[in-house]
Amino acid sequence: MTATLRPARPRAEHVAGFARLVHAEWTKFRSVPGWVAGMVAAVAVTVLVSLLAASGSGSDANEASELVTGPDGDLVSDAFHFVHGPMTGDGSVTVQVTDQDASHDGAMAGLMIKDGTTPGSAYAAVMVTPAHGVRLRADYDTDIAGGDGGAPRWLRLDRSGAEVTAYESADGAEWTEIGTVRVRGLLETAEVGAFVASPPEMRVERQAGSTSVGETATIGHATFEELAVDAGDAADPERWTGDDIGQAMEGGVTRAGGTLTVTGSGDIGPDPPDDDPVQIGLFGAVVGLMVVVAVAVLCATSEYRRSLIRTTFAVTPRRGQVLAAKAVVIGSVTFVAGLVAAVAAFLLTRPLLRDAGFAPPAFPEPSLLDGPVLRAVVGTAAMLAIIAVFALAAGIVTRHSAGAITGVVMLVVLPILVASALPPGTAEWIMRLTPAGALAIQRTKEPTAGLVEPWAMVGPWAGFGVLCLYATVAVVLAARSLRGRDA
Amino acid sequence: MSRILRAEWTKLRTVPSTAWLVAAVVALTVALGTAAVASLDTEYCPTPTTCAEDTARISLTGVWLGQAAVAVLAVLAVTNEYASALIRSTLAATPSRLLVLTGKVAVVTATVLAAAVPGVAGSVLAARVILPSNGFTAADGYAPLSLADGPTLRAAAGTVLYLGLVAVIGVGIATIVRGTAAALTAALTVLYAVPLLVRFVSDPAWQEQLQRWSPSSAGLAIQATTGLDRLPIQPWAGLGVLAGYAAVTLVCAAALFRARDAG
Amino acid sequence: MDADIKVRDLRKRYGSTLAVDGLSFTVPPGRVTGFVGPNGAGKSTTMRIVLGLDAPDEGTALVGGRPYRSLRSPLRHVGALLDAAAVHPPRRAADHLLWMAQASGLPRRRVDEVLGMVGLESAAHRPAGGFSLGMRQRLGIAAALLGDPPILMFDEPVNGLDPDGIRWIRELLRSLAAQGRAVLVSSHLMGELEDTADHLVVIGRGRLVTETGVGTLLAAASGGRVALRTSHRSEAMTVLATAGATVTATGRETVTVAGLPTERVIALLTEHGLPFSEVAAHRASLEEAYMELTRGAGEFTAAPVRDAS
Repeated sequence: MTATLRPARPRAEHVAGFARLVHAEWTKFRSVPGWVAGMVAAVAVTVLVSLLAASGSGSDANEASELVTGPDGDLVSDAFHFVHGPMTGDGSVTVQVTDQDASHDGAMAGLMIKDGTTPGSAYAAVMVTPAHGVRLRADYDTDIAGGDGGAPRWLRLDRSGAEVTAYESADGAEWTEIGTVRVRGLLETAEVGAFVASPPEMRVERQAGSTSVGETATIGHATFEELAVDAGDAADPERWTGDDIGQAMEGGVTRAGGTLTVTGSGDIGPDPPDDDPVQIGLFGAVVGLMVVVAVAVLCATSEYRRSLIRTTFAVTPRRGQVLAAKAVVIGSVTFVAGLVAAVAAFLLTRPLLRDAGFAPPAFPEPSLLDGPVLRAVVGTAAMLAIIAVFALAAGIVTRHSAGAITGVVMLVVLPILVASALPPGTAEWIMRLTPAGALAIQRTKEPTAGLVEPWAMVGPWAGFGVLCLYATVAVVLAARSLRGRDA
Repeated sequence: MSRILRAEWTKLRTVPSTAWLVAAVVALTVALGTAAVASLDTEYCPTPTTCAEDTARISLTGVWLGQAAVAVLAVLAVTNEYASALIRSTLAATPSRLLVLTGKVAVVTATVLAAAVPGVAGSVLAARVILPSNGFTAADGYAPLSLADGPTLRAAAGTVLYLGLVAVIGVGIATIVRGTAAALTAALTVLYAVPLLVRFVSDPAWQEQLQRWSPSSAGLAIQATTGLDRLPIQPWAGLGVLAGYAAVTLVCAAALFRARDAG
Repeated sequence: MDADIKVRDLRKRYGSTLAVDGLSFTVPPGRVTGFVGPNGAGKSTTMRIVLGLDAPDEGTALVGGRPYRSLRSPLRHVGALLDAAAVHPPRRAADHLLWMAQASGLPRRRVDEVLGMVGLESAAHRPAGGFSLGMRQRLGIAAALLGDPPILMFDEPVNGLDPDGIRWIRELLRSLAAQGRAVLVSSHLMGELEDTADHLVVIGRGRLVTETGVGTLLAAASGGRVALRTSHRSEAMTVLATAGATVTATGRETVTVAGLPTERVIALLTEHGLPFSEVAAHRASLEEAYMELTRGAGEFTAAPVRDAS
């Protein structure tokens, strides 16, 4: 065979040729009533199972005895021991934290200026921690890192109007600025003082094949020296009193000369419940995806069963392009169907979930336009589309409907069931290595080990990336097998 | 009847996928069970008396994968006949449809049970070998996993029966639905999607009812060897629920098989 | 572009089976070329290779001077019917043709035109799965005609057609060739091609047995034999055999005589007082000619056409 040099085809013609192929594959898809019905069924199943999951879910987060909300109305944790006194107007407070127990990696000891002692009120604080270095935090949502290392360390807070600037120093002579924060609505007279907090430890409990997560309180200790206030109008630190703020327990303060030993427990920061009502409202996608897999596999294998693939390749000898056109069609159709299903499921499950306790303040009303909610809804459609492409490629590689359907469903669904029966460390690894982790795209909250859903342990994009990787490998294998094999 | 059994057996064993699927039932069950056991340590099982791990149950985790191969085997045994119109020859040879369905269920179930026995025994054996090296040593008081232990034997034997019932349900669904993809998707939904829903429904009352009445969640209660008092349904009762589903599926399949024209 | 198919030294092996073994032939424009050989001779394999579906181990297959896979819009160059069952049952006939038209950039009206040409207008909107084999053949032929190609290949197009359908397809094939197209038609039954093909490519066990004109082949196969009808069959056979002829009984009153000219046969019968009702030069059917050829191929020796004159 003599090699013939063909002139390079103009790009526009190339694109037009591919568009024709996509059009042809779309005609193939829409002209099989069973496949269209399958996609409609996938939407219906997704919405119905989501409604079922929403009906069977509930939250008592809003019924907690002491619900603490921050300045924005979000649920926060605000518990610590505070040795404090009033300070009016501008001024600064300085202290040396000489020692801190490593009761928890995130235990805190330092200075705070706060709008009174009501839990959830605005504040700014500078602190040392056993493992996270020096931090400047304010109003539960601002967190600025200072230097590494913990006690002993000198700390200073300097108020000027609503702005608070924090400094740290190793020797009390040379000071480094950490940052400045604006504290919302800080009153003219605020409480200033030293505080100690130590967050509860997560505790995993297993009982015969199931895992639950609880919390155990930890108690922190720290010693302070050289406590000093420099302000026009402030109480003498000698006369400051110690109070447990919020749900803190067993806190206290002892004075020995100029040394204060403070004991405290609790956490200061955002504290939303782990449950994610948006994800519960999209749960049906786990079942809907099984129908999507079946339709996508059939799009590939039905051509082999009837030798129709020969007609297809006689019409278009460029096999890689046929594969790409098929993937574009099944991916787009599934994406649109998935988007319809996800939006419908989100909207229809809202009232059910609200009645079941997923309501403000514990669960702020989600809007489709919120970034994370939009990511979850569009991500659900994208996840289904990528799974469809994965299934299509698996069908082409195996040429066997039953094998491809079972294989893909096993890779996506089985890891969830297996992981939820194994200890959390193993479960997290399973979620990081299998396409099942892609379900994390449906979560609008931070990763957590505190839920039954194993995919909640990984971030939204990590799992989605793994799914894309699997799909890519399958498509490459499919392309190779098409090119290499006789049709 | 023996003629029908022999004919059905000949049809089943001469399909090349059958041998692969039987091997898959054994291999997948043992492989996943072994992997699950290998990932286990004594972190949540500090002493034999305060142990949170049901080691017998975890050693049988492989049933989750093995049952997929069982479902494929059972579904294909029926739908292959419809796809190739072989069903017409079958019914021409044996006009009694009830006999044909009975023969098929018997042969497929017997084949699956024969595959499940080495799969389950292999899983328990693998766990018995692996567990001591993960800290579950006899020296520390952990009794080695053994089929001589009553609950472990019940879990293992029950898992074999569970796979047999999955085969019956698979043949039933396939007889009702007739198309490979649709029947398989239906079977996989029953085996995997329903347990998922059960596990992630957060309302405790709902969850308990669903666990008690959903086929595979109830059926797999047979695997529990510890914390029986906390189970939503007792082991044999749970397997009974699954058997009930199998019976209902089979009755529906028989009724439809008799009423319909042969594809 | 020349409208022809050129196959050169084609070789293709599937596992341990050598399906095509050094095959060469040409399908010229303006003629119907019959592609014949027993089942399993390699006809379908050759056609799949021509269409770029299977890759040959050796050799080339060119359509219009180019490999099929290099064609940008193949349906405009080559139309093929490979397997009439290759339709997705739930898809309607018109949709089955529509996707092919779309992929090839052909206008939508071509679908209606070719459905009209094969007489399937009324079934256009029915699922192809419900078609009889004959209707599926017509649908497959419609697909081959879709791009109005100068080269056409049909694999066993007569299968499943009723007598009307067979007459229809013969006329269609002849008219396509008359329009100057190259037409290749395969069959394992030579008789089907007797009134259709101008030229024959005969293969057996993947090898070329002969490439010849239909007329030449028939003349060669009839070569000098005499058909005789007599009520005294056994006596006649004895007399003729004694005179050195090879005599074969073909019926209760009929025999075929080889090795003696017609005049000598008549003279011998008259001489021995044997009555006969018919003596004629034998006209071989294409079927017989083919049997004679493939008998050789069956023994795995490419038999040359015997020239008995």
